[in-house]
Amino acid sequence: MTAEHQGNELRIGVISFAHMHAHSYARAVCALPDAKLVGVADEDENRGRAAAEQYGTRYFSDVDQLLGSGVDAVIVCSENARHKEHVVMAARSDVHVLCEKPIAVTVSDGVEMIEACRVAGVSLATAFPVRHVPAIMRAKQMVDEGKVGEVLAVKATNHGRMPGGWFIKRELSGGGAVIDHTVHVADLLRWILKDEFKSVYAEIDTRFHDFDIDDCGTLAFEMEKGIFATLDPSWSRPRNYPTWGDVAMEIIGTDGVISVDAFSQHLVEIGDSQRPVRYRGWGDSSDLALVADFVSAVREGSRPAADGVDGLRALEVALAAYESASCGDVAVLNRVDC
Amino acid sequence: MSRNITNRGHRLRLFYCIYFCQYHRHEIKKMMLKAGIATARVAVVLKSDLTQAYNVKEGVRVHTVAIWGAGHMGRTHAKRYMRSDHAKLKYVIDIDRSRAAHLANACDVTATIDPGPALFDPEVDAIDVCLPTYLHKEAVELAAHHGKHVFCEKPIALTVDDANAMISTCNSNGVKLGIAHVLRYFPEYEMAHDMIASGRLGQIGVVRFSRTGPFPKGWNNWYADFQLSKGVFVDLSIHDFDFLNWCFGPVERVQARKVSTERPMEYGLAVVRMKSGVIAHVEGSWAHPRPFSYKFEIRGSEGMIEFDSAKAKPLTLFTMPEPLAEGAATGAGAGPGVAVSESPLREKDPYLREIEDFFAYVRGERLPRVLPEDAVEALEVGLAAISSSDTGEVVKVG
Repeated sequence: MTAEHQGNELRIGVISFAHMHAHSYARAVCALPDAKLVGVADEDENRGRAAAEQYGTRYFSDVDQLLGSGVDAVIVCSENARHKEHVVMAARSDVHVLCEKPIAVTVSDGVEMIEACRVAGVSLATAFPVRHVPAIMRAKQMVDEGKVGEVLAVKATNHGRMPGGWFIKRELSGGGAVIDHTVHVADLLRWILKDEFKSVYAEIDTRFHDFDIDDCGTLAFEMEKGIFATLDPSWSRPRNYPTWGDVAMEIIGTDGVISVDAFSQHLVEIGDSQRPVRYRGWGDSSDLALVADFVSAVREGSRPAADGVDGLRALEVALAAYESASCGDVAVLNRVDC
Repeated sequence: MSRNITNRGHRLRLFYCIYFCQYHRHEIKKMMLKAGIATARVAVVLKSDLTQAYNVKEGVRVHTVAIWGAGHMGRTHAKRYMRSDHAKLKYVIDIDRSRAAHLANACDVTATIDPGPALFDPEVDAIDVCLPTYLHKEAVELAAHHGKHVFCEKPIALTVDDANAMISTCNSNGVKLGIAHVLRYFPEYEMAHDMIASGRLGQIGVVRFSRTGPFPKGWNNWYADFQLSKGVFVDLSIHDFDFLNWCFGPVERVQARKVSTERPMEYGLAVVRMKSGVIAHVEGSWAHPRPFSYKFEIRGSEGMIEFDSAKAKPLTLFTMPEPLAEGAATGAGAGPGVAVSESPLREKDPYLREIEDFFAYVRGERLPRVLPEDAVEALEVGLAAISSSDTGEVVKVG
C-alpha cells in the first residue's frame, strides 16, 4: 500500500462534518503538500455540500461512493456512536482511517474497529491532537529527561464549553462532558508517564444545564505504577469565556514541578461592540501536525502517534469514570485484550 | 527623639488625623518614621491616642492580649494588634527568649519565656495562641483555666476529640474561643462567598481550590513530622475545606491521595462531594518550589469566577543583583535580580478583621464569622482526606 504513494499526493476524504473538528482537519489536508482533499461524504446534504464547496472538493451523499472513488484514506468526524460503522466500512474498502476521538462509545465497538483495520492491513489513527502541541511535547521530553525527578502526581484540566447538538444526545455521543473531555488527558497521561490506568474514581453530575447528560465532574486516577492524578473534564466554560476551554497539567515530581497549559499562546482581543473578550491563539496548529503525522504514517507504513489501541485505552478510562460514578466507588480498569 | 510628639499642637493634630483618617494611620506612622521618629515610640503614641479616641467617643473597651508563640503567625498577629482599635498587645510569650524579645521589642511590650506572667496578669483578657498545632490543646486549656479568652491559630487541633475537649473547656470556664480561619476574611474569598450566596452564579456545579508553595519552615521543623502537623490536608487545605463548608454547607464524602518524600515535600489532591451536590477539587502542595500562591475557580449555571493570587500582584519590587565580581567574565551581564510582590490592604486586611471580629464576639456584640464548631468541621474533612489517602477508600464525612 505504501510504495504506490511515493511521490504522489495521499488522496484523503472526510466522512461527515458532524464534528466541527472536521473543518480544521480539512484545512490541514489542504495545507499539506503531500495530501489532497478529494471528497466529502455527509448524510446531511446541506452541510456536506457547503463543506465540499468551501474546500474545493467533491460531495458524496453516500459513504460507499466516497470510499469507492479511489481515496487512500479518510478522516471520520461523524457522531461518536457512528464511528464504528464508518471506520469498519473504510477498512473493508482498504482505506486508512484517522478517527475523531473518542474512538467509539463502547469497548466492543472499539475492538471491532481495531480488528477490522488490522485484518484489512490499514492504518487506524485516533485524533489526539494535543500530543502534537509543542508545549506538551516539551513537557513529555522534560519528564523523559528526568527534569523533575520521578513523577509522583499530575493535576489536569480539560475544560470546555457545552457544545450542544448531538453531543448532548446520548444515543449519538455515548455520554456528555466526561466522555468528551476525559480521553485527551487520559491519552496524555498514558503517553507521558508510559503507564496504564489502574483505577478511576469519579464525581459526575448535570448541574449547569437542564438536560439529562453529564455536564460536569471531577475524576481521580491511579496509574499502575502508583502515580495519582486528577482531571476536571467539565463543560464549565460560559459562552462569554474568552476561549473554548483548556488542556492544562501540573506534573509533580520528586525534584520539581512542570506546569503546562497547551493553549496559552494567545492574544487577548477586546472588542468595542457587543463582542466578548476573546483569546486568539498564535501558536502552532496541533491539528495540522496531527494530520501530517497521519499522512506520513500512511505513506511510510509506520505507526501513527496515537493508534486505535491508544484510542480504546482512553475510552476505557472514560467509561470506567461513568461506572465509578454510578456505583459510588473506585472503578478498577479492566483492559480488554486487543 | 520624640520631641515633636510631646509638643501639644502636634499631638492634637495627630489626634485629629487619626480620629478622622483612621484608615490611614499606618501611612501617618510611616511619615513620622521618615521624619526620624523612633518606631516603638510612634506605635505607643498612636495606640494610646487611638485608645483614648475610642474610649471617649464610643466607650468601647480595649482588650489586652498576650501572643503565645512568636513565629510567623505570632508576628503576623502582632502587627495587627498594633493597628487594632479594640485590642492591644501586652506580652509576647515564646520558649525562645531571643525570639520573644525580638518581637516584644518591635511592639514595645513585655517578652516572657513563661506564660505565667500573662496568665496571672488580671489586665490580660485574651491569649492569642500561635503555637504549632500539637501544642494548641494544652495552651488553650491552660488559658481557659486562667479565665482568659482564647484566639487560636488553625487548625484547631490534630484530632476531633482534642478539639471538642478544647471547646468544652472554654465553655465550662466561661471564656470565648476563636479559631483563626483567616481565609473567610480574605476579601477575594469573601467576595466569592457573597457572590455564591447572592445566587448571581446560579446553581454551583464544579469548584476548584488550590494552595501551593514550598515546604514550610517552622520551629524545630515541626511541619516535617507528620504526627505533629498532619501534613497538607490538615494544615494547608483545611483553609479550603473550611471555605467549602462556609459556602456550600457540609461535606458528604471525600476521595483523596497524597504523597511525601524525604526532601521534605508533600502533595495532596482531594475530590470532595458536598451534601448540596457541589463537586469540589482541592489541591494542597508543599511541593512547589516557587512563592506561595492560591487560586480558585467557581462555576455555576449562570456564570463563573476565577482568581489566582500569582496574577493579583498590584505591587512588585525588583532589586538589582549584586554587581559582578572584579575580573568576572565580561559580557555576561549581572543576571536577573530579585522580585518580591505584595498585595497590600488597609481596612480589608484579613488578619486585622479576624481579630476585630473575635473581640466583637468577646464583647458580646455578635457571633464571629468562624465558630469553633466550624473549625472542627473543617478538621473532620482534612482527617477524612488523610484517611481516604491511607486506605484508598472513599470516606463519608459526618
